[in-house]
Amino acid sequence: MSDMETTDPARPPTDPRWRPTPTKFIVTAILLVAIVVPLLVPTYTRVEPRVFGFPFFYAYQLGWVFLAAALCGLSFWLLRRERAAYLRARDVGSRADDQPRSEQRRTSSANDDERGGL
Amino acid sequence: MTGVNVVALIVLIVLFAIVTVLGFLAARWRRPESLASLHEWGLGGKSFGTITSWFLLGGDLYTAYTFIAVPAAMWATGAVAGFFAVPYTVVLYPIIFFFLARMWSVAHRHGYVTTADIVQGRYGTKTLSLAVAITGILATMPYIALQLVGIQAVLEVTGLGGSSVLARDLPLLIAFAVLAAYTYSSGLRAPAMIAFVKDSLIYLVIAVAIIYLPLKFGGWRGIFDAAAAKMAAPSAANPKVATGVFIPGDAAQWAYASLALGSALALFMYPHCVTATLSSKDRSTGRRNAVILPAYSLLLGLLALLGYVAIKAGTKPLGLDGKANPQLVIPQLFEDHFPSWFAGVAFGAIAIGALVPAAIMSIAAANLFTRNIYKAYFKPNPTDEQEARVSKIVSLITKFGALLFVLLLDRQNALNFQLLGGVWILQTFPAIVFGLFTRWFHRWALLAGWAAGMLYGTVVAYGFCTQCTVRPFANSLAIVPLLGKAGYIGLTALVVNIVVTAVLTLVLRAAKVSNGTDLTVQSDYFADVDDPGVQAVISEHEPIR
Repeated sequence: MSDMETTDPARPPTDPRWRPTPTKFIVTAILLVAIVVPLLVPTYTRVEPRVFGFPFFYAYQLGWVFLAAALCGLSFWLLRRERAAYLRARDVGSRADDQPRSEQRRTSSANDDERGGL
Repeated sequence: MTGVNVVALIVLIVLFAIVTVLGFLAARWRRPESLASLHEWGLGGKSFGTITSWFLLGGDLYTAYTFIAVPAAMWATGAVAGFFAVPYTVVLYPIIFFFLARMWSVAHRHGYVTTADIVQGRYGTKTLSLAVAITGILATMPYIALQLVGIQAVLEVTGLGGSSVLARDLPLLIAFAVLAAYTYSSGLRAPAMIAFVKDSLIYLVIAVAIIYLPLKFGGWRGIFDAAAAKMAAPSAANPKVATGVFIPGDAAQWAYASLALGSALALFMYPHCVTATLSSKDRSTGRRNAVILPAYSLLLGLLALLGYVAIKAGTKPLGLDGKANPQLVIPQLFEDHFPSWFAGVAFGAIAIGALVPAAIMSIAAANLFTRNIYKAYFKPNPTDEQEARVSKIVSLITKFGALLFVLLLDRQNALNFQLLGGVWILQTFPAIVFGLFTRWFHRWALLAGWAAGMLYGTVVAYGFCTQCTVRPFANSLAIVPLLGKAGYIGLTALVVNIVVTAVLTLVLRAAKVSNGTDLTVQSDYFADVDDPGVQAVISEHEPIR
């Protein structure tokens, strides 16, 4: 049931929202890093090197607050980019046949490039 | 500290009054035809955008209990009990990034209001859904009680209390009555509006404290040194053991990581977090907030470190009865080292910081009862007004129950029940979250897994004691069976839960036992606000569809 991603206007691409894509794989990897690495406690149970007088144990974890937020931001951006690319490709192909397969229902709303999709 | 700190108290009361007025005015915000319907009262009706959600979720996730208890734990026993809150909030956002959007989508396609609804739609079973609902209600009640403990701590430091029952309990009763009144009238709009005020105040107070106090006490290096010294010194209760942990050693590392991971997995299973999530206007709001909510985590980390500042400052958190009470550390620190008016602002921030989550928690627990117990088992077709009325009454009862809990039981019991509630709510994770991704797991296996996790978690939490003060449910850590090290009981119970679920699923599938009907289709989990079939505002009067 999965379709090859193609920019052939006669065969519109399937919505990346409900199939596995390279972008989703990358996002999953990024998020898993953000979950697993901060939990590897033995990697940061030390006092030196200090940062602004903070022992490494404390400074490292506070630093991860920013890093995790950035990784979530990156993930969000990647997914939105994927969705925007899909919408552009779909609109190119929509001159021809744009009937959806199976239970997928499409929207023709003009607002949908504001959304990410996973 | 003798007598009442009048200035601080006046500032506190003024702030409280302002917020009360806001609470009642909130009913006019994004005015609906009537607050008599549950979706207007219980979900805020027209949905909230990113910024409002940020304040609301922030108000939800960072409660008065958090602001009082985390630094108190740091002050008393150091990093493991207190600072785990930082990696907890670090891993929380990537974790919810995976499933919050799906939760929003399927809920808005099928009219789900609660986690129990989600489970029922996916597996076609009322039993599993009832298990999820009861767990949600049970876990929320001690959490509400602890918000009231937070208010009590602040009032005690301003000097209100003492031997007279009236002086001690009356302020709390007034705060409770006010909270109950505007929640009853305005529903979810009230805490949403108040969250703006509360979070702004908290940010202000913490920012000032974090800059001013360390400077006053000679810089962070000295503060950390004082903390390290205290943690290494023999404990007062048991001189053979160190007071606490400055940097976790080998034995404590899994405890630290498991507390963080278990708490992160559990948080969005709490009804009030789900309520806040589902009230946002599109599926991506949760993800956008995953990027900006960490601002609160930073605040939490710095706040935790204020517990260490209190060590350096020599703060003595003595209750009005003369006994040491670590929960009073932060209010006492502020009272000792800030001018009275600013201490009043800080106390106001904390007290208001109790009201927002207490309101949302009681609304969420009420939603669960109304939809998944009252409607499911007692009265399948109530009118809009009946439904809203039942919810309002249940919300009142949960707050009242929490109040009684706080007034009648000793504080340590309240803290312990919160720990137990955390272990319980985590056991609903498989039933709710696995179903958002796959229907492979069997519903009866999920129910058995839930039961196994609940049983294991409760029994182990009852029995374990490090310093054996013979108090049940006192500890969140226990030796993990195959690992031989201490770990968070909730997470170990979750592993038991998942193993039982997986094994039974294989058995039940092989035996071809029915897995119920699934109301959802795959595209439901990705639907956004403009897609067909998606309700922008979930109508709670209708059953799930």
